[in-house]
Amino acid sequence: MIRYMLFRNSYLKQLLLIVLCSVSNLIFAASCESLSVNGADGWYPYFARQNPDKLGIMGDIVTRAAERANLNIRLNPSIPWKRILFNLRYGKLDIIAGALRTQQREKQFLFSSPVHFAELRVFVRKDRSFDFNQISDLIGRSGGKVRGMSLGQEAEDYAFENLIIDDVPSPKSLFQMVAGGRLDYGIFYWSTGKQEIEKNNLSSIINILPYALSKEGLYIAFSKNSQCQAKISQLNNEIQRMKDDGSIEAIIQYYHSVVATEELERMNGS
Amino acid sequence: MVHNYILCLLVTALIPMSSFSDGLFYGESEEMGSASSSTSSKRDEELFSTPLSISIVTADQIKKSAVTSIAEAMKLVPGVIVREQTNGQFEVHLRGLQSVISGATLTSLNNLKTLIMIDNRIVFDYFNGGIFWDTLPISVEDVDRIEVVRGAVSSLYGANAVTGVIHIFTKRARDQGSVKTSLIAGTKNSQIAQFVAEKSFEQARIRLSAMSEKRDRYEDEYFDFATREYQKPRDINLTSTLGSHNHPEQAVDKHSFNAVINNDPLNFLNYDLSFFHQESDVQKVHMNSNDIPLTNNLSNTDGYNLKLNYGNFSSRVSQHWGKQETVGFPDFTYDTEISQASLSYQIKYPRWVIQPGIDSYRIKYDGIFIGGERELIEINYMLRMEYNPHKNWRFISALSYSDFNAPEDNELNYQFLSTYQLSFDTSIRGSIQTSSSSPFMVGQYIDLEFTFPNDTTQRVDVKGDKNGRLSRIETYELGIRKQLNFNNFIELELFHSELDNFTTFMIKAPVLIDGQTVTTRSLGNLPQKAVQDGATINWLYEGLGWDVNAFLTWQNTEVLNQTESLFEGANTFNEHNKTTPKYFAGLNANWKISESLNFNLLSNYLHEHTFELQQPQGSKYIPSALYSNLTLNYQYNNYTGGYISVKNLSDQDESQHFYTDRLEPTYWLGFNMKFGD
Repeated sequence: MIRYMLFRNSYLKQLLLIVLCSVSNLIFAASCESLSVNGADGWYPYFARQNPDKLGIMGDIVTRAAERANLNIRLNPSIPWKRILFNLRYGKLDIIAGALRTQQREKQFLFSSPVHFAELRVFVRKDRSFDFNQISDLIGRSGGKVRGMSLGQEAEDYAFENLIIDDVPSPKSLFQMVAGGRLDYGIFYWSTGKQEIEKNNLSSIINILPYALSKEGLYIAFSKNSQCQAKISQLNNEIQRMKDDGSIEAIIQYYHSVVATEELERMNGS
Repeated sequence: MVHNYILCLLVTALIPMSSFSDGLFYGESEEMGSASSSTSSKRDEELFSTPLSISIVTADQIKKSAVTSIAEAMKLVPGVIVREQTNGQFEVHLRGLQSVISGATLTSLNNLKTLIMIDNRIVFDYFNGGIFWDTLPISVEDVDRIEVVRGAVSSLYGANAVTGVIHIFTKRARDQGSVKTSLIAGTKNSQIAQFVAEKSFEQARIRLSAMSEKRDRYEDEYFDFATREYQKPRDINLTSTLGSHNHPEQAVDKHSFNAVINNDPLNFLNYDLSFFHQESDVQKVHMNSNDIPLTNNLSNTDGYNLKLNYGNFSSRVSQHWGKQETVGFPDFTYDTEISQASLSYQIKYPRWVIQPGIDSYRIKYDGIFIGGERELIEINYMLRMEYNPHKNWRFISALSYSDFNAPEDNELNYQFLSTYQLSFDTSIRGSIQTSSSSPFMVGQYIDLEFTFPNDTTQRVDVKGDKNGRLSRIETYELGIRKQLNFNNFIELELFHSELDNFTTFMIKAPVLIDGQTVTTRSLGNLPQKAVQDGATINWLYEGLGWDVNAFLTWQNTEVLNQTESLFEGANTFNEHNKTTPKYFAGLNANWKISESLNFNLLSNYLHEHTFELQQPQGSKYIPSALYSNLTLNYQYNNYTGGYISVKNLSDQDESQHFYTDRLEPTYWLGFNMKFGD
């Protein structure tokens, strides 16, 4: 009897689900008074949410462009990256401030022109540092990168033919393996890598070599399913104008100077 | 009723599709695709790119589905058949291929052909081959993930990885200290308590865990082979055993303890040392009783496992020892001591990875059935090479040469694999692989004269053969993995296997010796070849608050040169094997109702099949059946949570195994609490 009740209840559950789905779809149909923005957490200086007036390079590009175009934006709360992408896909989010452009994302999102780049650097143990002026200096050494991270087409091709680079599951693992001597070097985004090293108390062990291995373009991504396509188009045009008139470069310079200042302060402090 | 239920499941599964699909999503499917696996290549790699048929069960999946044992967790894996013998006692098969010899014994229904490892330590049993799930010294709370490789992989792991490998990775202490306890209670007097404490000290991390488990059987009767009915224990006339069960009503009484100390596994020099102890008193299908299917087994084992890695060098030493006893079969009480050692190295060049290695196993048993102390020694020399002719194309070859002290013939196994990434979201693979079994104590060394306790005029002499040959499989596979979009991941594998080199205990005509009728059964070669064709399809989907994993396997097994009987010189013929279900499937769905509330549905379907054994066991038809578990999991905060669960909902109340307990719904309540970070 109890089992029969459970089977019958499963029909009720389906009805409940249908109702829930319908209601949620109605809720998700957002109004177009403001454009919703989100970005990847822990990606300073590209995106940060600690200070609402300083959202990092990509966040500030979006807010300044919105100001210039008289558009309202609202910063959505911190949620996991996959949810951000999901929301953008289904029009529950209008803008991602800072994303890499991939083949798959091209199918589903709209992208601005590249507004900045992320620089890939080589991270080594301080006591195992070596001269690095070109990619061929990595030949014969064991390296690592985070799984799924692209080195850029040219560096990827060269690495496949000439280098030994292991994929590791996370940035933390990458830097721990470099610090532990398991890898001669690790390749990661410069600024984010620097933060990761500090977070894991590895600054005294790991050094960042000055030459950049490659640069990956960074973009503002827009939802194709947003109900605010006209405003998105307006914002994208403004971003392009900011790029052309040097406003974006000013934002980038500001953050680079802040990063440099912070680094200097830390060095003096230590 | 069952059709209505299937309809419910399908509709329930389709609702989120229509609501959320079509999209670009960084979901569960993509997470699983990019999850790390280390079993199929003996080094860490992305699941999406692995060259073998592999699935991973995560600790999170175990928690959501309220699985209470490691064997039960296999219900979450595609291509796996899980049958419950009695409350908490499961039998697990990868793709089937069990009991293909006509007139086989009860134990032929057990899986003798899948290797199982805990943290690289082989826990396969060498009594007669197989997995003693009840003697594993860990609980589900200790499981970090389980990697299941379907297919022949002796070239990587030595003998007995015939239909695949089940590799359990256990948890290690985190930097933050904590104490966790979990209490589970269910109907049938089921009680499970698990305790974990972990702490790091400077460079060392220590994790202690303990588990206590008690469950009663679903039945208070046994199936009596003589009367062909379920009977009270007192009404059964035991002919082949000396006594009954210690506690007929009790299914499981088990206790285990684990202690692990390790440093950071990412260090250049890293170590990992674990100690374990378990003692168990269970009922399961183990001996070829002529009376009832279940035997009462007592086990008490201890051991350690030490891993040392230095850069690209990996080494491991382990030993476990203890006593196994089958109540009523005093000749089959024995002591065991199994020592394992392995050494491997990884050499890397651009485009190339080369992995040479050597494994050594020394397996010592001491029991009446083998006339005292006997030893099996296995040394495996292995070489695996990986070459990338192109960024998207990988070619892998692996060879292993197994040297045994008995039989004299050694085994060479190989694996040739190729993977090709057609596009960023599609990979295809193909493989040819071989595997072989190892020698076992019963097959190689049994030497027993058994007089029936209730009829002393009847005697059976059983003789092993030190040089008895080892069964061997050759498997061909084709596979494709496709990331349809961010929230849909699908994989298809096609397989063809040929299993031969069977041996069994052939029956000689009875003779009269000293007033006793003596039947001799001695190990002999059989001409059978089992040919299996099949396909497994696996689909992962995740919506905003949903994830669904559905999988289905179709297989067909033909047996060539089947013998009419186990008497020497019997005629042969070809037949269709009915022991493995033609279809078996599963559905694991989670509905995340809120941040703290999760609803899980775990359903498994086994198509109709038939077990045909020798007399007096006879045959058993098992009708098609769908079994479902429903679980509502509530995590109040980071420190407390719990669940309620209903298991074994079905329109059938049949035994899933050979006249073992008839399953019935059980109701469970779980509570967990954590102190510390």
